Amino acid sequence: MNRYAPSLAILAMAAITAPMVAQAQDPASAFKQIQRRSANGDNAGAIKLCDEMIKNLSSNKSRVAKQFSHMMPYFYWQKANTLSKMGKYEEAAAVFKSIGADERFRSPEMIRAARQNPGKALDYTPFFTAGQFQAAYNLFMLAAGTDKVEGKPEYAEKAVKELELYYKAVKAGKVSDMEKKQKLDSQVCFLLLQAALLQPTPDYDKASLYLAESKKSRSLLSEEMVMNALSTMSKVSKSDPKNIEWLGAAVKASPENYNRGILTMAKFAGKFLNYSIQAGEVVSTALKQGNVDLAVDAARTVMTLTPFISENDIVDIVFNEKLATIGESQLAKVPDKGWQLSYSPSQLKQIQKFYAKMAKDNMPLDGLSLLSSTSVVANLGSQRLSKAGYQLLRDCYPNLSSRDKEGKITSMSGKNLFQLSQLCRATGDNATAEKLEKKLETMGVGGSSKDTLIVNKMARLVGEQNWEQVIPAADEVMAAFAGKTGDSSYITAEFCKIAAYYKLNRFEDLVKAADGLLKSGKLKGDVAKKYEPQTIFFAADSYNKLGAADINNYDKAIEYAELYMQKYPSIDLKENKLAANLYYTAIDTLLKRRGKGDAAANAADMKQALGYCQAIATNWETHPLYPVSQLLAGSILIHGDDESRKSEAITLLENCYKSAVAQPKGKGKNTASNALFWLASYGPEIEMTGESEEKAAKRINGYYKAFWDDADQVGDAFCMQMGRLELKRSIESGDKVAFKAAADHMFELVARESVQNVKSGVINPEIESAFGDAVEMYFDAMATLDTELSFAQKEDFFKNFKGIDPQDKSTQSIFLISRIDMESKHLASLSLDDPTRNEISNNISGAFRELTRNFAPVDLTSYGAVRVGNFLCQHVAALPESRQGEIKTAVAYYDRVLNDPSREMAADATLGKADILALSTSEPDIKQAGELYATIAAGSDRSLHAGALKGLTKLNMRAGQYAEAIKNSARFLKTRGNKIDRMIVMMLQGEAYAKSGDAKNALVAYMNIYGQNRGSIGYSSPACMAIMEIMWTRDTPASGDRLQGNFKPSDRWTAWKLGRDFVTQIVKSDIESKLTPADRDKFVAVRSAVDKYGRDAVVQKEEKSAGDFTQNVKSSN
Amino acid sequence: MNTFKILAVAVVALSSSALVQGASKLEAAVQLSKGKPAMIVIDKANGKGKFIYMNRQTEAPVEVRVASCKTFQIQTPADLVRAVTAYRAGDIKGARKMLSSVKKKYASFVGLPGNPSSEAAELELMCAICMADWESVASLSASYPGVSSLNDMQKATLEVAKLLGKISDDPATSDAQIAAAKALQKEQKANLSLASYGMLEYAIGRAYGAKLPASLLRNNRLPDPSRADGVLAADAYCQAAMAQRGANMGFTSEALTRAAKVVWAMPGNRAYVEELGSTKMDRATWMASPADFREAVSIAFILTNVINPDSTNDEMKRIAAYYFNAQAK
Repeated sequence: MNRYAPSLAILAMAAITAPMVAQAQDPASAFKQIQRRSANGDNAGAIKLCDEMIKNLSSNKSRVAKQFSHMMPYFYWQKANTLSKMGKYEEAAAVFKSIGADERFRSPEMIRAARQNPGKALDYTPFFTAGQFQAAYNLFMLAAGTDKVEGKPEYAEKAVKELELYYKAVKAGKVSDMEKKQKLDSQVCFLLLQAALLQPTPDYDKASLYLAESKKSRSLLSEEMVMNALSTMSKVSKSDPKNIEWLGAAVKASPENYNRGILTMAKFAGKFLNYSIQAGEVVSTALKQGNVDLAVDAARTVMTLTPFISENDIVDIVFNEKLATIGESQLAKVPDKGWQLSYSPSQLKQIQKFYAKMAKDNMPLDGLSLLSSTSVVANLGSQRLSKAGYQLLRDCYPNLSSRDKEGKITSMSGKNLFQLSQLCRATGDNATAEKLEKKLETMGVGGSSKDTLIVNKMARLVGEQNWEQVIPAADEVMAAFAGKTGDSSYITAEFCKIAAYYKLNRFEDLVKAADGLLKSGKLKGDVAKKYEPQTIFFAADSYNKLGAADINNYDKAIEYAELYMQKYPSIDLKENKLAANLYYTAIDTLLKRRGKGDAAANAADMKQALGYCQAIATNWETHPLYPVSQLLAGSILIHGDDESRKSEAITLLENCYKSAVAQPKGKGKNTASNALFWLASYGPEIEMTGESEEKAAKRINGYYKAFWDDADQVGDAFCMQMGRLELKRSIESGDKVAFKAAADHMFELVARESVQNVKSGVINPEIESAFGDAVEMYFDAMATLDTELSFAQKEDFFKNFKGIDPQDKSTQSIFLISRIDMESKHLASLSLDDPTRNEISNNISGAFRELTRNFAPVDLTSYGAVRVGNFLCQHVAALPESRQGEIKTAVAYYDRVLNDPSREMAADATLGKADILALSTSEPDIKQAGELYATIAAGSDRSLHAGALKGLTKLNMRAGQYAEAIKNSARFLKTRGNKIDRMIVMMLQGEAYAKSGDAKNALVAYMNIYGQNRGSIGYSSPACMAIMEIMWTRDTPASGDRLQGNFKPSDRWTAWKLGRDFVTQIVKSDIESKLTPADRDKFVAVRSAVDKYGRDAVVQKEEKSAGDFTQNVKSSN
Repeated sequence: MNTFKILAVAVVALSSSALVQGASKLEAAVQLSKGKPAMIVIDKANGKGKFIYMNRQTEAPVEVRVASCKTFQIQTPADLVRAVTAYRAGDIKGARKMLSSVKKKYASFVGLPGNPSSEAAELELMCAICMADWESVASLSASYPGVSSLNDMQKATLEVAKLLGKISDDPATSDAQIAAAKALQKEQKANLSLASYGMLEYAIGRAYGAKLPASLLRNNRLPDPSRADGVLAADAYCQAAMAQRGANMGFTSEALTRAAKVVWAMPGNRAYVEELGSTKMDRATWMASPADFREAVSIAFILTNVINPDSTNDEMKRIAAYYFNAQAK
């Protein structure tokens, strides 16, 4: 017994101060002995002695028995107490109950003796009333059980009955003063609440009643009672989850009973955590079952219990501080009377050790409780609160771990970070989500989390429009879901790849993938709605783009377009977003397919295209594609053969431009300018029904005005052409004022577009062609409508043109080229003896040199680059041995054209490049030239075949490949090469035959040149020379008889005669004086040969013989 | 349970309270370096870890250093027990008053480990925080007793309180407040409790909240440009609430109310609610509703049903009424 002896024991001791007869077993010493035995754990011995004393005092025979029989309740009490301590609750309850029921204890003597205490007189004997409580309490313990002993709910009803009996007494004041002071009613209510719930059929009404009652009178319960109560509630909840609310309700009723300060609560934190987790599980299952009320009750319970789980760090600090002040005490327990507590240093250390281990294992209870409450708010639907929880876990418990079913500790950091990443996504914080997902990718997260991560990575890359990376990311998803190709993630990945291919213009890959997906049959239901329309659209559009390489692809494009229209016929763009675009693709494809089929097929295509244009116009009048549809329809009709529909085209094009200019932010201007250009171009030729000429003219004027007022903008694709058209119209009108205005406007446009070239970095391709035409028209018109410009004035025009941006090299180069063109044209008009020829020729060369010096290949248009390349080629060709260094420069200009994606003038550049490389002394260059020539000669552009074959023939000759030269020259002669080239190639052919020993064919070749091109001294002279040399070398003697008529002259004489006749003819014609020095040299060579051959004895003899014969024939006639 | 113990303890408790009532003295269980453990009455402390008690035998005052004691356990005075019990029972207002009185009464014992004045001061400050009485938080933290004898965690918590005391709706102070809070989170990470860390998030939330146009926030019409600050405020408030783990109900409710309010006022929500009208909330409607709508409703629901079922905030209850359980199968 401790120093705070129960007052009933004091009463007992007081009672036996009365004189008594000494007994071998007097009650006082027996009582002490019982207490001692009980303290030593000898419960059986204590009970035995109690029974002995009860027997003795019950006998009523001895004087002692009579004197001390009133003490029997104490022994009954002690016995019952001991039984209760042993867990024999039923027996204990019976004994406690019997005290109150036993009439012997109500005798006046008993009562009188009980009053013999030094304190205040008691109204009610506490044994009876407290005994009633103890009986009820033991029945309660029987029903509730303990941590070690299973409860027996069948006793709960009886416990309720007995507790209610006691409660009634308490409420009526029919208990001892001591009991009143203890305010036991709240404790009793608390036990009644539990007992009511413990019943096999819980009495919820009674439980609610007593919960409410317990709040009325607040007193601190013992730790043991509090924790036992929670344990009871937990068990009750486990048997029926809907009882979970009582766990929190009991705490809420008197939170001060549970929140006892950190030093106390740290002992029970593990239990609180378990209870809160239990409640958290109920939240989850209740919500799934649709029971929101139960979920809320359970959530409340979680939030009520978690505050009692102190933070690990705080526990550590508080415990350290307490141990610092009491740690070395000699006392096993250090009291705090105020809180009715005592602190055991050894116990504190034990608890501290437990917390240290939890911290070391990364399983701090506060972290685990945060995870539990995070899960609760997530289940209840708040993503932000749940995200907040995971953020705190990441920041404050980054290594949080848990124990799995096998007891192994595993880190939850990956799992928690994953949850955080997904919640960041869900709340729109994609930037953080992506950072976390990237980190997770390195953490080796597995299972479904990994699958989610790679799907999200793919989605993230799609969101970033990082199409290059989308493809490998999609492949990763497809690999992860390889066994589930029907899974939506797999299909999404397939679709993402298709979308990426589209964005990257990888149309061949796209159509392969799209064909596969569409034919797989996987696109059905919701998945189909999501991906099929776009997939079909991408396929259609891609085949359209692939049509340039293979015209048959247009058929596939149309097939897909029609499939789309059939599957998704809705015109509601809210549900069928791509419909209008698909129709446009179909129209575009049909237009591009022109030329594939016969006239009937083309007509059918155009009819279908018109139908689709009409569909856009009818269904989507306000769609951005409406103006384009009108433009295309107008284009089909205006360029078509059906004259009766031309006026309809006008109407369509007018619709186009009106709707296009109405589009917001000037988006439709390009379309409008296109339409207006066609209207201005074709309009004058098309009669509109019932329209007078005057009105028509006004209408046409209106197109120009509308163009410049509403559609024109810097960089417009049609502004240059429109300016040129306007200039042409003004010239045709003969109106000088209009002409001047149009010319000024045209050249202003050129300056404007030049500035834009520099600003945008994109060259307007129309400047070159429009400017060239415009300048020519202008110069010509000046001659007719104003004053003709002199050559100097024309040069000045180019040199002093205002407004060209000095940084716009492209336009400056166009000017230079135009000037060169103008000067070349002028040069060609001059006679060969014109004294200005040299100067102009030098100007032209100078202009080209200016280009090569100050303009890099990229500064020039394709046309300009080819011109420069060709100039350099001619320059090198004039003196190839000493001008080899210019070959590389020329190649750079040709390559600029060949590398241009527009492929404009690519064929010319290829030929030019081949020509310049052919002039090289380097074998690799020559080889490349040959390859290029061969490519061109086999290509589809027939106009270049001649040049290529000429080049090849030259190379063949250079390489001594005479048979090849003969073959290629023969191919050349089947083309339409120009006269000069024909002569060159025929000369080469002749040479090839000669050098391969085929004198006969060589002669034929040379004779062809000589015979067809006598006046071209540069070629006829060497041809004549060659014939003469071949024949002289062949040296076939004369044969036959002149008189017989079968005389064949000798080769020598024939050679000499041919040459002499040629020389005579030329001398007589007066061509000689006009020969160029080079041609003159060739002619002189022939004349020299004629002179030389003429001195030959055989020739002289045969000439004399021929002369004599002729003379004889004359004489005989 | 042993009734004897209940009855006996009652007697002892009565005698303890009789001892300290009306006297600014403290009883302590002490064991000096030599001698046996005993209950003594401390007359005063000198604030430097020493106390003076009257030796009953010699009737002379004895000065002792706490550090030299093997045991030193101040017996919690009854008035502090009452005050703390009221605090634990959730009567924050009542507790605050009592704690203030206890703090002053035992002020002369500050510096002794476990002294009631310091304990009362700590809880008094906590009460002011729970009541969102930032002015008082500022003054209490400025005049906090015994700062030099605080441990690192308590010092860090005091710094948090000082920052909370500067909470203002003036947007001109927002950036500085945010920077200060984040700096404190970083520098004192090792010493901040989770709850204090969360309180700093609240201060951050208030600072972002101050940047939002007040009248538009009131009318649930935040404009698009305010969205970013609104999100930051809401997320900070949510962290503040979660960090309490169900404790400090007043503070948690305050943070959740602000979070729900900001999210409810996000662009588009008001128009959606007006369009929704009296449409019954079903799965399809819920799933099709804007994310901000669902989020605000969920937070309000948690606030008014789980954290503070006794809430009298009509606006929050109206918002919570839209709640739909999307988990039900």
